[in-house]
Amino acid sequence: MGKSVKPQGKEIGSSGYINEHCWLAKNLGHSPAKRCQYCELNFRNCLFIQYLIISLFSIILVFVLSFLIEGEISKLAITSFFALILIYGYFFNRSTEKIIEAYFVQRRAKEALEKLTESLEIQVKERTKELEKANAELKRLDEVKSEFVSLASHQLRTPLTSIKGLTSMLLEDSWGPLNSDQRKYLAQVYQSEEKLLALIENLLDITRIEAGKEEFNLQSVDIFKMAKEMVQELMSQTEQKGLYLNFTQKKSLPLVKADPLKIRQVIQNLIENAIKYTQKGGVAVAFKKEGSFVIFSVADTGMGVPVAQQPYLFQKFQRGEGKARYIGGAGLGLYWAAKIIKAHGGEIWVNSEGEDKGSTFFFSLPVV
Amino acid sequence: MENTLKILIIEDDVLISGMYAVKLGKEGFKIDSAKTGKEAIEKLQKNEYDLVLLDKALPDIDGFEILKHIKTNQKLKDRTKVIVLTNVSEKNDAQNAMDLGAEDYLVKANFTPAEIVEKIKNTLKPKIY
Repeated sequence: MGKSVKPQGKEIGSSGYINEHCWLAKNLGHSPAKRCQYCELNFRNCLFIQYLIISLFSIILVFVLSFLIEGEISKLAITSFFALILIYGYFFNRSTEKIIEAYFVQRRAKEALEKLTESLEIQVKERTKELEKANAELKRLDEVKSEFVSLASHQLRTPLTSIKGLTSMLLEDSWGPLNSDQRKYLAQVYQSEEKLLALIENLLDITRIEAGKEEFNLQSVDIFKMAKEMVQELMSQTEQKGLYLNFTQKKSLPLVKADPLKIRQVIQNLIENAIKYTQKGGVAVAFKKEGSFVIFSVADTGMGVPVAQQPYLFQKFQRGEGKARYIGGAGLGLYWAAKIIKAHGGEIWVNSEGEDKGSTFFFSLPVV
Repeated sequence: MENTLKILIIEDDVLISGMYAVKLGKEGFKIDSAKTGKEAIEKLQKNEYDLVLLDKALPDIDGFEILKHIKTNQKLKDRTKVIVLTNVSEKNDAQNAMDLGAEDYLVKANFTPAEIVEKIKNTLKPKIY
């Protein structure tokens, strides 16, 4: 009993087993799933029929034996023996049925799981493909953007070359002497043109760094001397506003590895920003060495940076919030500076306790 | 003598070319100009120049081709100095220009005509004095 359903030396879950043992499935040639359904039915039917045959056989045997054997006790013993077999068979059958049922439940679950895994895999593949496509498109757009900025910047430089050249020649009295007003306003034209050129240069730097094509002229730079010269240059700006401009460095510093022109402009941007956003008090420039880095700092007593805004300060086109909103600028300076410093292997950050509490800007550069 | 030094300005933008011509003329140089690479090569074959101001981005030929033309020509090689001017500065361009034999590589927009005159005078110093 139960012999026909008990697999011998074969894994119960293997489809080979099902195909071999389920004649109905084999002969009907259905799909594995359908076959399995028949198989399950067949197993159940087999069990039931087996039980029925054994029961009938037992009853007939009891009947025949009761005629052949004499004595009430013997008859009773045989009857009870077969009755016991029948009862035992019934329970054995039930438990076998449960085992088979469990097997089929497990099998169905396994199949459902396989199906699900397969469809999930397909979905994942599809989504990955979509993502890859979107990513490629983004990359392409980014390249187009870089190309556009690069092209536009170069195109802008051409007319600026003649504006700059001709203005400078006028200021050199190439076509006769200028009166003081002409000179003053022409100098303003020249300054504006220089600002525009610097802005274009910054834009080009940013697109170059983003495209991994930066052109740095790396040298061993005396950043201390550089900052000192810058402070002297900007002294007149602070005096005009009635501010102090301190440079408190006494000890000499190790040289840093940097592009002198770019770093000079970063220092200039940071000090000029400090002056721009300060109405009372002043600006102090300082240095310190920390590990293998030189840290530059410029502290002001100006309008400060609201704490909530600090994380966004070095992002593209970020302008000051609150009071700082009303002060001119394209919002590109700090973004550019951050790009330059990071491309040099340094860091840039700000400390400010909030609005009207001043701020200190820092950057670090690796020592040669 | 400064007066005898001849400069060829190869530049397609007439405003820039005219501006350099005026400035260099005032400084006493003899000026000739070409708007295209083809015109420049013709002029280089016909006349002798002490220095060429060469725009890299020309409408017909890459400026570097003209630089190569000058520096591989036995007749021109030593006599004609070249300063490459550009507003389209690509990575390694400056190094390439120097490797090809240019005296200098300048981004036009970053220099006033007066500053360019300084560079030219420095380059032609042995001839001026």
